Amino acid sequence: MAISDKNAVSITYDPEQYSYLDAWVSKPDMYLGRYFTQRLYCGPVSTKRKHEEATEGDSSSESESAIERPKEWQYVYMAPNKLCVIGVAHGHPLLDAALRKDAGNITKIEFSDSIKKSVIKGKGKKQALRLMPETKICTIYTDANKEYTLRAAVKGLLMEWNPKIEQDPQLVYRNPEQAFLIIVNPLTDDDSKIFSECVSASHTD
Amino acid sequence: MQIHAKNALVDLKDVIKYIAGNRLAKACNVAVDADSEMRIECVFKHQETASDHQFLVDREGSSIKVKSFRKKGVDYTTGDSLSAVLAELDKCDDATVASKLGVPPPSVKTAAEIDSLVFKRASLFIGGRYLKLQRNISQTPFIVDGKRMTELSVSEVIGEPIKDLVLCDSYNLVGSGREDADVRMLGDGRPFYIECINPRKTNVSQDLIAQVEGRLTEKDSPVQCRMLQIIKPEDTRIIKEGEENKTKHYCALVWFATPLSTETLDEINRIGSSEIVLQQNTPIRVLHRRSPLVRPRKLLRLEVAPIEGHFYKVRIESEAGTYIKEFVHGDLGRTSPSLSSLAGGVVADILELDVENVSLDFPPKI
Repeated sequence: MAISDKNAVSITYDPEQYSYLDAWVSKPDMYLGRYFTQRLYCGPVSTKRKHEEATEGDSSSESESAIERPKEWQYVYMAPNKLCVIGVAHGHPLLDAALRKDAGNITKIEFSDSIKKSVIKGKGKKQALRLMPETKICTIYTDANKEYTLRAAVKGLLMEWNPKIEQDPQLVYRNPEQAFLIIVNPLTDDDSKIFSECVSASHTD
Repeated sequence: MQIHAKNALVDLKDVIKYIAGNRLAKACNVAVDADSEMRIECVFKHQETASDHQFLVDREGSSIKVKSFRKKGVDYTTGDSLSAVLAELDKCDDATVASKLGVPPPSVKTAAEIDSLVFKRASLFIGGRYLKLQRNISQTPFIVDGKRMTELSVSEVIGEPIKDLVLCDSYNLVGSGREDADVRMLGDGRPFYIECINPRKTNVSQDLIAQVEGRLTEKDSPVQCRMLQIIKPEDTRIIKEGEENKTKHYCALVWFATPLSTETLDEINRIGSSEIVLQQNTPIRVLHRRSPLVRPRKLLRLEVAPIEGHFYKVRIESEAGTYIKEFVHGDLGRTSPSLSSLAGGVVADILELDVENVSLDFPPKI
């Protein structure tokens, strides 16, 4: 019961016109560039360490460690309909080859209460959670006792958050593409407004 | 005294229809026929009582929501339709109505006037199946911010010659489902009908209609049609019913980041020989206009064949409403399983998609 062969022979494709795809072989994530405009966001650095909570208050030592802290890059992928997918970028201390050891391995990912309790019905308009670029959306905990705060990166309404990543935090390492955090509707068509807090993707290369 | 809008004994519209209709028929020596092709639309206005219903809009807790907006330079106000006003009147207590309107309402001093009188022919429907042999053609004109996104549209290529034939004001193409602009429609084509608004010539012969079809085929037009014919208005129902129920056949060019091993390829084809149920989250690319839902969709058949290197030909038979592109790359894990996940998580991208077949019995045999 194979699919009817009446039309099978007639359709042929010509791979020759796709020779530019050779560049994708070494960096398979490049296909995302076909579907999304890619940018990076760097939020205020996470200043809390679990065991430092009790001693915070000395502002000068806090700002010193903030300078040393590596930038926490998040990716912002904008679809043609302007919806933005937010996730942890390769340059983030959790994923960057040089910084990972220091950061530790992810043990837990937890979305903020406001996100988990948010109402996403219908086309997500009036009742949806309003986000600002610096709004904290989730916290990632590691076995090196570090906590990383992830931010919304884009101003708009919360359309979706990804529960898979709470249930299976290792997804961030195994399948970074599927490990997006949230999807935001920026409610504007103006790219410069949408990316007001972002930089171009080549920034950390 | 009780005022019940719902149980209104006689609708004023019917009174005017019968009286005016009969007088017009006598004056023009024609008969009134509800099924006639010729329609007359008459709008009356009466300034004196035009805002009589305003107290219903203004009162506390009114269910009438009036919205004003501007479209193409014209101001519109909506929300106070007859049904909305009647519904609110029913909710309103008799004492309020009596005090605001007066019972009985005061007699009017001015006569009503005719605001517009439009003569229209009932729409003519022409059905068939269309083929889209090239990419970047939308089904209907696709205009964003005043700019056309695609040079051609199926509706214009087929609609324009038909418009010249039946001399209608405008036309709408309705297809049994639709494909993206960058997807070809092959095989026997997709069933569709064109509604011709206010046609001046309705006694067009089948030969002339067949000529429209013939000319498109002769000049190798990127959009062609088959079985083009005049259809009865009732027949248009089949188009929309078929959209939900019928399965579709697709063929695609897919690129894998790593060429598949024989074992993987065989395994995918083995799984594909029986039904696969997908859980599809609303694709990101339509999430702005469709509700966020997880839709289960069946793939009845999946076949993957190598072309060369990273390129594969993929054939799919699926339930109506399945997002094929998302099935291939997985839409960031939001469609599961995906061709990518079936291949062991190898990145897969869809480069070209064609609809091989839409199985719906339409149009009816001539």
